[in-house]
Amino acid sequence: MKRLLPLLLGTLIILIGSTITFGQSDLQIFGFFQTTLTKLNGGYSVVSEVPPSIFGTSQLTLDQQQNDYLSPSVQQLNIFARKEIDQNFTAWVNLEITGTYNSRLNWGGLTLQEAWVNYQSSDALNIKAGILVPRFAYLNEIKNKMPLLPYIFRPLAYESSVQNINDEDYVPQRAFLQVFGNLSSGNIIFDYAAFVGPSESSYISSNVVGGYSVDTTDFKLFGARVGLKYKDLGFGISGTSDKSNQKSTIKQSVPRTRLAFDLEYSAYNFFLNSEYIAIHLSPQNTTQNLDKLFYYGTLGYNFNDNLLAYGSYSYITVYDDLNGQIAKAGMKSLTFGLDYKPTSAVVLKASVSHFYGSSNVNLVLNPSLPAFNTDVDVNIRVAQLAVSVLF
Amino acid sequence: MKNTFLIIVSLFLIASAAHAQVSVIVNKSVPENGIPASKLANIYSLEITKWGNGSRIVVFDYSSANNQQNSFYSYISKSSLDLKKEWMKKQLTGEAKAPETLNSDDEVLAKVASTPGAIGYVKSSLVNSSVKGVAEIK
Repeated sequence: MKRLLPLLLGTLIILIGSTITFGQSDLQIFGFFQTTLTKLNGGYSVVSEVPPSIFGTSQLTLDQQQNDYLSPSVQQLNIFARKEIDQNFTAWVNLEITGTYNSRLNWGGLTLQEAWVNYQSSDALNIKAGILVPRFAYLNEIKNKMPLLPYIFRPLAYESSVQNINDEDYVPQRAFLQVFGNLSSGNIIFDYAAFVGPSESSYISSNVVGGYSVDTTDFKLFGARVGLKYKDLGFGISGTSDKSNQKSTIKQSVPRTRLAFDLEYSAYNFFLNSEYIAIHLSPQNTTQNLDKLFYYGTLGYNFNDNLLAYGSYSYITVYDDLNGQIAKAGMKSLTFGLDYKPTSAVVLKASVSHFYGSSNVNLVLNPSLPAFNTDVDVNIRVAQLAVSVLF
Repeated sequence: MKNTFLIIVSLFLIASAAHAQVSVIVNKSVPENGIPASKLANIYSLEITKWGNGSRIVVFDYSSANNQQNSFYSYISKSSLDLKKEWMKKQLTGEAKAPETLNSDDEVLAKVASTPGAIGYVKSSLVNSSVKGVAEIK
């Protein structure tokens, strides 16, 4: 980070400088931020039913966390630079600051989310190279573009602030090459994307060559999406193939495939977005089922151009690592929200969410003892206010 | 009877004049001569960003709602909300520039005439030889 920060700031200064030097050029610099006020209450617990004769209690708490706070933060701030280099080439840089970033106090993070150049031969053929967010399902490519989304708290697989959810498990985070485009005929638009990316971030080391991030594997992420849009109805199918780093638990790089279906529809001021993502992992020499599932559906209503209300439900499979024992549980979220735009560049948001789930698993706490019935419970309530500002 | 017919025709013509015809205009560098409504919808949604000759499409629109905009959006079956969402998505993903919005027909006419690859729409009565008409909305 110490090396990255001056580099990023230097890049920004050069970009801003180039606006001043070439005031009439096509360089655009703009961005947005979203600040939030969050009231959170609740947590999770993992409790085993154990014989009192051995453990001195009938209920043994293996893991627990409870929170109750009211916290303001700058959830996210992005600065974009875009330049149409000529008729075919476009460059794009996206710097992202999250969690009220402060390096001195170790808060939040500063990330070079995107830096790519796009060669557009035609609308049917684009080639994007650099660091980019791949086109997968409906939300992945726009998950961090907060003014676009009605949410403060995004559907679970896209909300990186949730503990115990590694968003990298559910959706591909980065690619370095993407070929994409669309073909239209009347009101029908067919779109496609195929991408190649690095392996997941746990395989990437910054200690190999001079502090640069190096993907230490020879396996990569491969993925694709095809979609069809007819007027206000759109749907798509996406898939990826890569490996999940399970070296800390079952000592393997496990082949992983993701298959996603997405749907968007709007009519009579109502809008609907939905995704279903199934993640299949194929570990060797174990019967352990590591598969995961995520889905969400959001139904909203636009009262007018400036006011909308929505309800969203999502489900995700989560894993809790209890000293090598994996407890698999399902977590659900239900969110209701309102968005109001007093001007085109400002969105005021309010939402209430309930995160909940109750699962039952058999855990082996000691190899000399039988597996014990274990309850995994999640119960968190969140109320949030936010303002999202484009600048 | 003849007088009644003339009165009805006159009223119809007056009503038509009040709801001015709108013409979709492009810069003279644009190779297309006629553009159907479905393609205009895709151009204004920024799904189509290049002309047939490979040059970039530069879209102009009005900064606030007016009769021309209402007629045009209705013609391409898009609402202002749909288009604003699509523009913001394209802008925030870096894939296209949101249309430049202008205040008057004269500004749209002047910008389309002077910007290679440009497209806009104005009252039909204002169209002149500095631009090329590619569709007329009655």
